[in-house]
Parts: sequence; structure tokens; C-alpha cells
Amino acid sequence: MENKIVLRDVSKTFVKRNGGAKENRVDALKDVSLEVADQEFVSIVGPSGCGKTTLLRIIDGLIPYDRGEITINGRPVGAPAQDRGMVFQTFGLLPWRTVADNVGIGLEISGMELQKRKPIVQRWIEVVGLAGFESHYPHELSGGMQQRVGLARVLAINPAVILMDEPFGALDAQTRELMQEELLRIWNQEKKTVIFITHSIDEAVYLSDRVIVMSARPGQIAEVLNVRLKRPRWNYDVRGTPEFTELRAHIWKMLRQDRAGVAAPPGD
Amino acid sequence: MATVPRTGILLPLKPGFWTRDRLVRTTSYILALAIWEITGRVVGPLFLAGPSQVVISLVEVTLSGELPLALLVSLQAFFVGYVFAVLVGIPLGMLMGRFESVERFFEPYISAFFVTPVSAFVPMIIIWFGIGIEARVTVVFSFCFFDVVINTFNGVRDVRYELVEPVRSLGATQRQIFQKVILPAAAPFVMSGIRLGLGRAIRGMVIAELLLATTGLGGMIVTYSAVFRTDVIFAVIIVIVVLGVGSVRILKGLESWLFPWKESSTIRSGFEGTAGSVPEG
Ligand SMILES: Nc1ncnc2c1ncn2[C@@H]1O[C@H](COP(=O)(O)OP(=O)(O)OP(=O)(O)O)[C@@H](O)[C@H]1O
Ligand SMILES: [Mg+2]
Repeated sequence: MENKIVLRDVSKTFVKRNGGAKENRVDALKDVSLEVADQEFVSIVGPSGCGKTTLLRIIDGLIPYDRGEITINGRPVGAPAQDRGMVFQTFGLLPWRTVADNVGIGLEISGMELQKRKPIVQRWIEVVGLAGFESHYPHELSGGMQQRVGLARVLAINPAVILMDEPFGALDAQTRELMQEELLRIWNQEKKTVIFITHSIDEAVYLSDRVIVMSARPGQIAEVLNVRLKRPRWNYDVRGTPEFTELRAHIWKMLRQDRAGVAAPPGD
Repeated sequence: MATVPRTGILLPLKPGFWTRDRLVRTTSYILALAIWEITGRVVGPLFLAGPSQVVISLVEVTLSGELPLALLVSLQAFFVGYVFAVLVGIPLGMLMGRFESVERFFEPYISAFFVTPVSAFVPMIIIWFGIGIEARVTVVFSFCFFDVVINTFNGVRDVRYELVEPVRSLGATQRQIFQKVILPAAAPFVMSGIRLGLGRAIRGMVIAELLLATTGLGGMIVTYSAVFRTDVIFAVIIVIVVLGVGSVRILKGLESWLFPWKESSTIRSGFEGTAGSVPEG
């Protein structure tokens, strides 16, 4: 099968000038190479500040990268476009728009007229379980509901690739599990390619085909792990299986080593 | 916490009418009027006319046509100056918020004028514009212009990145981002500027009439203070207060009608939700 997303030696350095000659350089990403197959679900875990969000924003086209190459289905990525969509940790809903108008904004941007948008918007509102809340404002919704809107907003533009930056990080444990399960159902039904960032090892293993472990300073891929747990994973105690436990322990150890490395005094 | 009792015990006019808030307000008004009336009777109308006398005079100068005419004269200068300030202030504030170079260019003057009492420029305004309507319009304009500019500017500049980025991610053009995110996000701030500017414009209107041209409502105050008619002076002041409070009320109503999504996130409403516990920090 042809690879959907290909990253080759992608590097990114943030340069901050504090006036004059003094420069502050942060190597956020260094030579990151990664291939994500069509309809694959890949998670990225790594210590805070290792460049996960940066990587996702680069793939989405929100910020430029310095070196390397990124292609989606063979086409190099440029400015943000509707072949890929991003779900943000802070939801990023427009507070003056109702649920329906938030979900429809992508279609509105692409110039689709209201009458054509309506049924599409309605469909995705129903898929994420928000039927009846179409005319509510974001502040009238719980965190979990707000993130459903964030997800529906992206699904509505029907992107081949969905990028998710710690989408469930702000949710309580129960809502989070519910959302994970629903995300898997939607992913399974809609045949999307997903890159999913999380701080939760458990979440990464539960959702993914592969888990990418990143290390910090500079941000690099430390290890790629295949998760061969049987799908669908919501109808058996997948977290109780020995494979799950093993993977979790392995990733945990890796992240811990990395943390120890970072904690050591920097020798600059 | 205990909920506010919704039925009063005093004057059970209609059950539910005398809420605690209403009772407090009404008591406050009655007390103020009583103190005013008594003081007026004690010191005499030369120093302070009581409210009963003021109401009588208010009716008199209204019926004679003097007050309506003065009001009309005042409102002319007010209207021209205020509308002009809003029409120039909003675009300027937006440009400053949107483009850093525009901000750099204008910011020092805006800040300087904002903190300088406009009254200090009155002599200059007389030299430049005389004492006709142009001068009064100028005073009104300079009283409220900076509130409009600064509020608009802050509203546009401080649009949160978390709002812009998701829309950009959906492929929006710069123009679409401005239309769909920055404008609506800044709109409540622009409205605040318009509302704050309104109050200041009314102040400017009266001050112009007191300090540079004896005309309009301010002119009436000057004229009648020369003959110690405190009753008429108060009548005029009441008109000014009603004008100010009334128009600001209308704008406030307009705001909550236009921005229903803003309602829930005010400190007040947050307080009600967590009443009894003081926010930490
Ligand atoms: N716009 C920026 N300007 C300068 N430096 C930045 C910028 N964005 C990120 N960085 C730096 O790049 C590094 C990676 O940041 P990034 O947000 O990608 O980390 P992350 O892995 O997503 O962290 P977290 O798990 O805490 O979200 C950090 O050191 C950060 O300080
Ligand atoms: Mg991040």
C-alpha cells in the first residue's frame, strides 16, 4: 500500500532574537523521518517540550520547517488546507458561534453555501453525539462536549488526515475513555489516517496501530512500536492483556530514561 | 449559599415584585430625596433648591420651550462630535490592532492625549475654532475619540491565538480570518469603546458649553447660576443625567442582545456560581 504521509529528515529550529546579536535557539525537531500508512492510527508520546505539537503544526502547515520534506500522498504539504484537519488541545471553538456554526465553519471557509452545508453539519453533529445541542454556545457545553464539537468541525471537511494534539488531555478520566471509544468507532467507519499526540501511555497503546516515542532536545524519534492488539478493542478487556501491559511498561521505561537524561545538568 | 428571597414582606403589591434588590434601591432613592428636600428647606433655595421645587422648575422651563431648545443645541454638537469620533476611531483602532507599524506610528500621540485632560486645550481650541459649533464639536470629539480608538485597538490586538489557529488550520485566508475571527472577537471591545465614549462625549458637550460658549444645556447652567436659581440648575443637571444614563443603558441593552455569548463569562456571573468562596490567588 502506498504511504499516505511521509516525513523525511524534517528539522525545525526556533530562533528568538532578544535584541542585538544575542540569539536564543531551540532545536525543536531534528531529522525526523516517519511514514504513516493510509488509514493508520499512529500515536506520538514523549516528554513535555520534545516537539510533538511542533511536528503536528508543521504537518498541518501552520508553521514552516527548516529542512527536510513532507508529502501527503506524494504531494508536498504547504499552507493549511482541507485535505488534513487538526483537533486542538484547547478546543479552539469560536465562542460567538453556536455548535452548528462552529461545526460548519470549515465548509463556510471553502465557500459552500448554507443550504448545502446544513445536512453535512447535522450529520456530523449526530455522529459525535451532540444532536439537540445545535444552537447551544460553547460556554453552555461541558469540556467533553466542546471537544466533540472540535472533532466534528474537522470531520465536516472530510479530510484524509486528522491530526490530534492531546485532544482529551483536559477531560476527566471517564469522559476520556468514552471519547477514546467513540474516536475509534469513527476512525473505523470513516477510514481516516490519524496522528494522535498524547501524554497518556495507556491512551496511546489503546488507540494505535503504532506508537512513536520521541525524545527531547533535540526532538527526535527514539523508537517506533507496533501494537498488534486485536480490533475492535472496545469489546474486550484489552488493557488486561499481557501484550498491553508489556507495551505500557516498555514505553514507560523509555520515557523515564529520557527524563533522567534531560534532568542531568546540561553541559553547554 | 442562601438564595435571595423573591417575595417581599413590605408592600405585597404583587407577589414577587419586591425583591431584595428592588427594596434596597427604592429605599436608597427615598432616603436621598428626603435628605435633599430637608437640606433644601433648611438652607433655603438660594443655596440648594429641594427636589419638589426642582420638579416644578423643570416643568416650567420645559413648557416655556427654553429647555427643549437648549437640549437641541447641545445635542447637535454632541451628535456630530460623537459620531465623527466613532466613525474615525473604529477604523483607526482596527488598523492599529492589525498592523504593528500603524500602532507604532500613532501610539505615542494616542497615549499622550488619552491621559491629558482635554480641558487644558480649551484655550487653544478657542484660538483655532472660535466659540461656535465647530469648537464644541471639537471638544466633544476629543473627549470621546481616544476611548473608542484604544478599546477597538485592544480588542483587535488581543484576539487570542487559540481562536485564530484552528480557523487558519481549516484553510482560511487572511481576509476570512479577519472577518470570521478577529472582527467578531473584537466587537464587544469596540462596543465598550462606543459606550464609554458616549459618557465622555456628554461630559465634553457640557464642559464645552460651560467653558467656551454659553449655549445649550451648559449655557443654561451658567445663565441661571448668575441669578442663583439653583432650582433650574438642578433641573438641567437632571436632564443631563437622564440623557447620559439613559443612552448608556440603551447601548448596554444592545450589547447583551448582540453578544449573548459574552454574558456567562463575566466576573459577576462567575461569582454567583461560586458564591461564598473567595477566588484563590
Ligand atoms: N513559537 C515558538 N517559538 C519559539 N519556541 C517554540 C515555539 N513553539 C515551540 N517552541 C519550543 O519548541 C520546543 C517544542 O515545543 P512543543 O510545543 O512542540 O513541545 P510539545 O512536545 O508539544 O510539549 P508538550 O507535551 O508540553 O505540549 C519547546 O522547547 C518550545 O519551547
Ligand atoms: Mg504540545
